Amino acid sequence: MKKNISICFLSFFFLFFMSMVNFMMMIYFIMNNMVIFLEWEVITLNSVSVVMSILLDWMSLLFMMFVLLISSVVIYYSKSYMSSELNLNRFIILVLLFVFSMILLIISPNIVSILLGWDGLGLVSYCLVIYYQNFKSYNAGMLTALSNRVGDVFILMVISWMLNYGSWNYIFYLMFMKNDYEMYMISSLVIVAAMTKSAQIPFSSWLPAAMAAPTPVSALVHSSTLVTAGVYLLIRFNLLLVDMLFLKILLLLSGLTMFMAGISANYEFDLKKIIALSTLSQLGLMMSILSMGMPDLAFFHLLTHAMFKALLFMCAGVIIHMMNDIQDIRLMGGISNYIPMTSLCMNISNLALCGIPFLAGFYSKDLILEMVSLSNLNLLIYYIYYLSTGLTMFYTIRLIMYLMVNDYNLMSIYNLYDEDYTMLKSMMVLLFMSVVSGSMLSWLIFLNPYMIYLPLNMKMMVMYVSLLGGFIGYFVSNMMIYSMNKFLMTYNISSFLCLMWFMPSLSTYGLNYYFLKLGQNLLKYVDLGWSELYSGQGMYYILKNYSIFYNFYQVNNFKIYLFSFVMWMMIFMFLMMMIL
Amino acid sequence: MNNLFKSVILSKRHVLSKNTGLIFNAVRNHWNYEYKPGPYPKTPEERAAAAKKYGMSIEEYQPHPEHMGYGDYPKLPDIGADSKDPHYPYDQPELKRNFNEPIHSSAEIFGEDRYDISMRPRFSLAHQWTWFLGTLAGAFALYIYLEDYKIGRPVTAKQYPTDGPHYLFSSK
Repeated sequence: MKKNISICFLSFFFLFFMSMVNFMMMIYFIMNNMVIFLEWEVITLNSVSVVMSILLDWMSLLFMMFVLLISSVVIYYSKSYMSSELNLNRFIILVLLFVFSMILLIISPNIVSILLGWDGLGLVSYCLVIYYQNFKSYNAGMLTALSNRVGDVFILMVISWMLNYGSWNYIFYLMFMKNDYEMYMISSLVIVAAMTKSAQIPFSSWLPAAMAAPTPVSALVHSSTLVTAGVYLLIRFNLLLVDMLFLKILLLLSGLTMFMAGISANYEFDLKKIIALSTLSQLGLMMSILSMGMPDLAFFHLLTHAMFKALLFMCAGVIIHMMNDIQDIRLMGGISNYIPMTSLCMNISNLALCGIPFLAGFYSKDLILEMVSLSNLNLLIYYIYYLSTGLTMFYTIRLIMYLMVNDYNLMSIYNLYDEDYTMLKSMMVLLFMSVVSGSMLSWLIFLNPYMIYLPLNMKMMVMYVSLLGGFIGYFVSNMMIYSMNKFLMTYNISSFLCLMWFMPSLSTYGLNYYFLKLGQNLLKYVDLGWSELYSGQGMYYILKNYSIFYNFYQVNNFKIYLFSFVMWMMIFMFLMMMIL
Repeated sequence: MNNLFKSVILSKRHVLSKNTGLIFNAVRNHWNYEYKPGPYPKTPEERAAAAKKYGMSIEEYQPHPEHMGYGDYPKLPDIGADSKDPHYPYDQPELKRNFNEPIHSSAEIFGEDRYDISMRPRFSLAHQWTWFLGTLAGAFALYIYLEDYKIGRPVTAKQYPTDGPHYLFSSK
């Protein structure tokens, strides 16, 4: 028992301390506009030098601070959440491996060490998703790992395209080589890699499936670190993302992701899947504002979103423990009466998610929406942004109605209580940060505030859409409008919308059949067919028949003498006739 | 390999962690002649004997076609494990199999972690692809059409004091 406690405490203290150190350094670096670039020359042979570089600027220090803070709090939380786990050491070591891969990705100015961190993230997240070893987790882990693997392949291609420039330190090339064809290819490949990691539209199926992981893993990995790795990569490469056709496609796809996830979250009844789809929606928001050319806003939203989303997952974990490991929200209810502290955290993180004024999410989300109103945008994208904001409010109010307002649905006799103070203490840290971090970051990062000048109705559009979404959420939960889902007339549409636009089944079942059939045909016709004829069995028969044939000539047959005599006579006659 | 592990565990229990429990509980033997199926059953008596050997009834026993070389091993229907009833109390719930139930000749591809060939999806693949790609194509078409109708706050044209070349000093 003692061993398990000490590894959690030790890593919590270490990571929390490192997070505070990074915080101090970040403030110092921002105020003095410093960047530290450490290089360690591993080996130099004539003209090839292998150098390991570390880039410490305010962005990487800030992101590291948030990652280390969330991971320290999650490890402390998992001391209590995973206390019944026999192999807790293994779990904590996997989480620490994940954190170190993420840090390697954050501090590297070099595309190869980004690949090390990126691949590490993918592999360790696979190990964490399959942690509860049942068949459903195995399948979910396979979906996660293979979707991430596609992104890894694209980063490998970026590495090979960057060989044109002589070094893999992309930091040096971004500003100067923007107009090259090679940089154009590199930026396209990086965009696709970021799309796979951040689960944008063709690759969205892995994020809700990865909820098969334990809840602390979801709080760390699928809310703040793994899924934001793609966004972070694009923020590092943002100097390249100027005026490409692909950017417009990315804008549309991430807008559609935002919209799709918002709609699907309204039909879902699994608590962790609702939160996963909410993460997907916010990721779409981050990618779309990035594709419009405002990377600092995307970074800001990334950080504040990490705070309240991790808090939301942790509250969900407490609720799941309380419900005897049931995740279906139709069986939940009344948590504000029975576990008031957890419902406090849940409420505040939900409100921060919606962008309620002056909580953390408001500063980033509202600023993004105002900048969207100021830009010269396609009408469809404008509608998608505001409709998705309304949908966020819709599913949030629906979740609050199911969890807090309506009463407990599982059993008739119950005794529910707030879990021990370990989980609560870890949530209080994130609660403080999710209230304060929005304003703190906006004062730190944006040295010159954005000048927003909008007509009244455009500015109030956020409020209108949020209030409308909230009202619809309230009425839908109250008046059982869900019977509309059961009409046969709307069966096709509602199943299309609720099953995430069929992407999970298309990514798995839809893609499997053709390739497995191809494999079967290759086996049947090539492996067991023609190549048996020409090399395996066929070669045996060929050699056997040939050697029988030649054997006839080796064993001296009288027929051969007669035949050769006749042939010689014919040739002799022919020559005689030629001479005469 | 598992003999090696077992010998290490049994001889050095004080060194290994207390949680080292039963690692291997299946006994594996090498393929031997007793595992070989009998010859292809040609007469009805042989079929009955083969069905009894495999624990199946005569009606449901059906051997593979003779040219495939499987002998009298039964040809079971191709049902993946995902399609079998999840609530039935199987003897081996991990494999969804009862004791003495004959195992499919290609059982390794019909587990729960593999592609389930007998699954009948609620919507056919054509339906799913059509709706998905149709929605994306419709959104793209709408996007391209609305490229001429952009939103933006109303501004006037930029006013210059005089004619002549005007320079922008910002980096592009």
